[in-house]
Amino acid sequence: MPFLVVKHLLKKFDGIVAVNDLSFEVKKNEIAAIIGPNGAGKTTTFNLISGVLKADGGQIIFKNEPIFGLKPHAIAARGMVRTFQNVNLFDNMTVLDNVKVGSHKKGHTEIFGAAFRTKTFKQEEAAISETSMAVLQLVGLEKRAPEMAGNLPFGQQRLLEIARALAGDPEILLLDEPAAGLNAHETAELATLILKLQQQGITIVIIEHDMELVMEISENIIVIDQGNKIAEGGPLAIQTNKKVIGAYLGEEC
Amino acid sequence: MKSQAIRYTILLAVIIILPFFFKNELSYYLAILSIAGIYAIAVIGLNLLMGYAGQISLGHAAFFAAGAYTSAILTTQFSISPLLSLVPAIMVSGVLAFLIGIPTLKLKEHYLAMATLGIGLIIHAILRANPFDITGGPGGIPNIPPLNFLGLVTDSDITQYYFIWALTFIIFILSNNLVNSRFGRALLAIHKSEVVTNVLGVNTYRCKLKIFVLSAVYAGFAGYLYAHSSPLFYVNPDDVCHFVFSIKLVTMVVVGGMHTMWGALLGAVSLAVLPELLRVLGSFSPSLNTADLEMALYGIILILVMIFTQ
Ligand SMILES: Nc1ncnc2c1ncn2[C@@H]1O[C@H](COP(=O)(O)OP(=O)(O)OP(=O)(O)O)[C@@H](O)[C@H]1O
Ligand SMILES: [Mg+2]
Repeated sequence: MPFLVVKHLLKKFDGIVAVNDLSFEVKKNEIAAIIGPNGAGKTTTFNLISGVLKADGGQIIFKNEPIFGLKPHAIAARGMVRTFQNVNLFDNMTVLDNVKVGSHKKGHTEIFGAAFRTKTFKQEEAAISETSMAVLQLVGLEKRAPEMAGNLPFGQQRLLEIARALAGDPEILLLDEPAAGLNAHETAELATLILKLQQQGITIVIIEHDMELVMEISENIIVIDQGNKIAEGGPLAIQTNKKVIGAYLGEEC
Repeated sequence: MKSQAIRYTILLAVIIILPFFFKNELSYYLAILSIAGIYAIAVIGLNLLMGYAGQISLGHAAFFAAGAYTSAILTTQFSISPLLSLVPAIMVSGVLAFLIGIPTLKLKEHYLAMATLGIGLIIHAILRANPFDITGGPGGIPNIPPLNFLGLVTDSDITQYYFIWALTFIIFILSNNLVNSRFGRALLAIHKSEVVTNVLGVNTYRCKLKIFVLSAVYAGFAGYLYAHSSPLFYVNPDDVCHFVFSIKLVTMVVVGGMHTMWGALLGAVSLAVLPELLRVLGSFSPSLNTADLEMALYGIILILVMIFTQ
């Protein structure tokens, strides 16, 4: 049974149809990719699924429950977290604190506990620090924990954004162009990380322009062009699909 | 952590020994320093809202006034002890903020600024208009009783000074604790990007509402202390609810740098003594209107800070 189901999703921005009758399914623990030329509607699709934007129509079903119309934090609480195409760190905070914000939904202490440093508060903070460091270790940023997030080189900022999303223990992770701006070495490390996350049981949907990366890690690829799904299938089928080649060639002209 | 304890100790020492520096006109300086402590409480609260969560209130005087007037009315007209009027006073401030926050915090940041600006003007007008004949109109409410906490009466200048600054000190530490927590981190995150914070699983609306109400409660508590403080024991609409007072509180937060509680404390104290410095200046030149000069200075400070922190 599919983990995430998107049915007849529709989004219009005054006049233009950014996402048009888009349907696809993601299986539990698979790595799915969404590809397509610039402006195809990929990021908009993520915005709709994660609740950042409200769709004009359609259905989104996650773990057999409709999540259409829910607020982003409610969707996150159900186990879905995303990253952003433009790195969107809290650069006014340390690397470690960025990750800690990602684990916010797992915590319970409120204003009172924090102000009076209750025992439960201290225990929870200690646990948060520990799990956050573990997440940083997973992406290889543990040595950078006390630095300001804005001071990291770009490649590490991308990793931190993934770490921050992971801190919330997501069951499904939506990555919007995680390899953009990375060099070949960093991209290879990213591929390893994504495969590792899959092994840990996380389902992954990735938007990516780096075709080598997409073909290497994805099991199912959804191709969108001008808001419409034009193809779907495994890496081999997509590479030889005429419509897909046409859409990408069309972009180049 | 250790350096934090040292800093707290230094702060406490400064609070304790400060009165000994004023040999002449001690009660005059103690009154000013007490007011500075009261402002500091309101500014610490406003700093939580503005400096940490990045939400702007341009009418914080309304919450100060709500606390001050609620207690003034209850103690003078209903003969309730100030000990018992504390809870209603801060509750009125908190509920007022809650009612303003529910609709406006759903919208973009500047809606809160606009709504608080409006509520500040409205409350000021209501206090002056005296609709139920309980606010005393433009003349305000005189003869408010001093605080009396379990035998500790704040009628002398020195007990009042230590009482207020003890409270300021405690609130300062609690607030510092608060920002270094799960909740405080969420506030800073909201400041940077509400959408991203929301997507990560933080109910940003609720966080904003909580901190807005809390900052109003701080202001209400400060107003409550103000109403019962010597030598005036007096509130009027222009002193506690004027738009200029709201701007003054904002300026105090901005001067403090909006990043740390220590800055907020410094900002509050330095601007609380500013009018006194200006008064000294004014005594040399009788034609100088120091109130106008004070306003102009706030404006200049705000502009300079905006330019240099870009
Ligand atoms: N908030 C918005 N308001 C108006 N138009 C928008 C908005 N967001 C996206 N669009 C438009 O919707 C279309 C799809 O944009 P989207 O960002 O989803 O593309 P994309 O596939 O992610 O492209 P890229 O590969 O360049 O990131 C574009 O024409 C874009 O200009
Ligand atoms: Mg995009």
